[in-house]
Amino acid sequence: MTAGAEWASFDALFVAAQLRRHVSGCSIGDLHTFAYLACLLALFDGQPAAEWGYRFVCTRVGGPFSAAVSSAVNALETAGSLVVGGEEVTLTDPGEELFQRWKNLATMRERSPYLEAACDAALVMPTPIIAEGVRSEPGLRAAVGLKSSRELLDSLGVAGLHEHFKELRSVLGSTGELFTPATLWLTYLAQEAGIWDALQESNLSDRDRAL
Amino acid sequence: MINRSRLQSLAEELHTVRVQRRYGRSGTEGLKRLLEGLRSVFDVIPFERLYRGLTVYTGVGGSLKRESVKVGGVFELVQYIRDGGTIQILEDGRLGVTTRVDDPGELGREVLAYSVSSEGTESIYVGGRRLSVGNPSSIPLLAVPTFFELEDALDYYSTAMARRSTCRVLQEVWRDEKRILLVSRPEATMRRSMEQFLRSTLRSQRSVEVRPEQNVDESHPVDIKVTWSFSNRVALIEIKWLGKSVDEEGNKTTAYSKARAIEGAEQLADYLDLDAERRTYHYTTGYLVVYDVRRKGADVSSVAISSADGFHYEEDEVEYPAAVLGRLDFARPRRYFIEPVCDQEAEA
Repeated sequence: MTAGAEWASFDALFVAAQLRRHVSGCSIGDLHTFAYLACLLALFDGQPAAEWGYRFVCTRVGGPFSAAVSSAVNALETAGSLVVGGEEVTLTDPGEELFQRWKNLATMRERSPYLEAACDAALVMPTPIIAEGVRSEPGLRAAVGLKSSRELLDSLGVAGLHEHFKELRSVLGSTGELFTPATLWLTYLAQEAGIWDALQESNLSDRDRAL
Repeated sequence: MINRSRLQSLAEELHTVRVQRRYGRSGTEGLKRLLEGLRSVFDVIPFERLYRGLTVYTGVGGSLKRESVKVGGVFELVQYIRDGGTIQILEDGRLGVTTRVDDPGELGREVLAYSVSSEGTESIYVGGRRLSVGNPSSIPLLAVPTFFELEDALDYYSTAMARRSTCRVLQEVWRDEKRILLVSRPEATMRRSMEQFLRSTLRSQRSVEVRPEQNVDESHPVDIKVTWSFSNRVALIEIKWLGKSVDEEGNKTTAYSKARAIEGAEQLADYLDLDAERRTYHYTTGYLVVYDVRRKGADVSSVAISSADGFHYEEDEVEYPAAVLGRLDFARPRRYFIEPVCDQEAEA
């Protein structure tokens, strides 16, 4: 197994395990979305995109997709670590054991904070809204509408992302963690996509405004 | 281009940012503890039963002593939280519970709290200040689960959103607070309510489109179309309503009986036939959703209704043509009976 394939397998196990804990389960689409979001958070943290270990493309319907993650899911299903039924992906007990073993490896530990921050965003907003937010990031937005699948995180896509990240850092300063920037950015992207309404001012009472 | 001022104003009000700025890392960890705890709580307590509201809170640093019964696990909450209450999440993950609904704004400055009101409005309180949960829809998103299957989502919507008109968008369809008569042309609002719900809760969907212009042919619009990211399934949802509506002047404009639901089923079957001729690469399934607000004897002068009249049609199912029900591409029709608010004086 290549390093890229191992990382993709670990990422699939990580997302399946965390989303089971946070939102009672994971879909095939979630595996690609959250692995891609984790990769973007690594980029935000200053890591080069090439070092994530595997690539993503934009599908014809506008979502992120990784052939490495897809192959990893097939291999993990064959090995009995994941069960795929319909839209749902379930982590099995042997899969959980494998995940716990890999989690302690140094190479996997390095990527865990990015995967964790991506998955923790699911505590704040529903996964369908996260997916919609991710589809609105500059690279995917630019790629949507092209007839063929386009590789993501090329120089054009990365430039657009860096502009977003620069503003995020400027607004937030140094937080020392990734959960806060991730949730702010996703909220912004989802709002830009038209789904995330403004801050429900109408729900705030006068007393709340005064506080 | 990123809109800096919009990002800035989001940051000013978003609870995750406010918590981080006020309490630093321990605050962020506390918020995650609160949100994880909420997921467990709502796994066992349906939010639509919380008529008195619910407050859930956790402390940020330091000990927080409040009167509560400590329970061994989340399932024990069911013994205490019947229609509302307060839950404390301790730093070690244990839970404390009271049947009293505490004011989340009065719990103290070192507290992160979540509340859902009896109307389904969610809020996060940071040190007593109420902040946005950035909720994009009329649905309490931290309390509502997500769904892998459209059928499950539609059934949950029936009991949790429609039954008592909990969805705030759906509350706009009523002429009166007693939920007796509808305003004129409520279809668009019903579609919007359904769209928001599915868009927020249906997993793996690529899009949930309310598209009056999305015609299967020019004369038969489809109300909602759902597509999925990793599947060639397509769902077409047709929405109808039964009951009476009135215009702004208080005149009755439309009254629909069960025949309207049957008409909707036949229309949808026609759509599916047309769709099948045109589509090669998709499997399309039709879903008929009928909002049922029929009230016995209600007219434009009705200001109150008894239980007997208000619930008269609750069990009155629609009998659809066998030819429609037998189709493989036609899902079980769903009738959402919406309860009125009945009046004791009207009972007499």
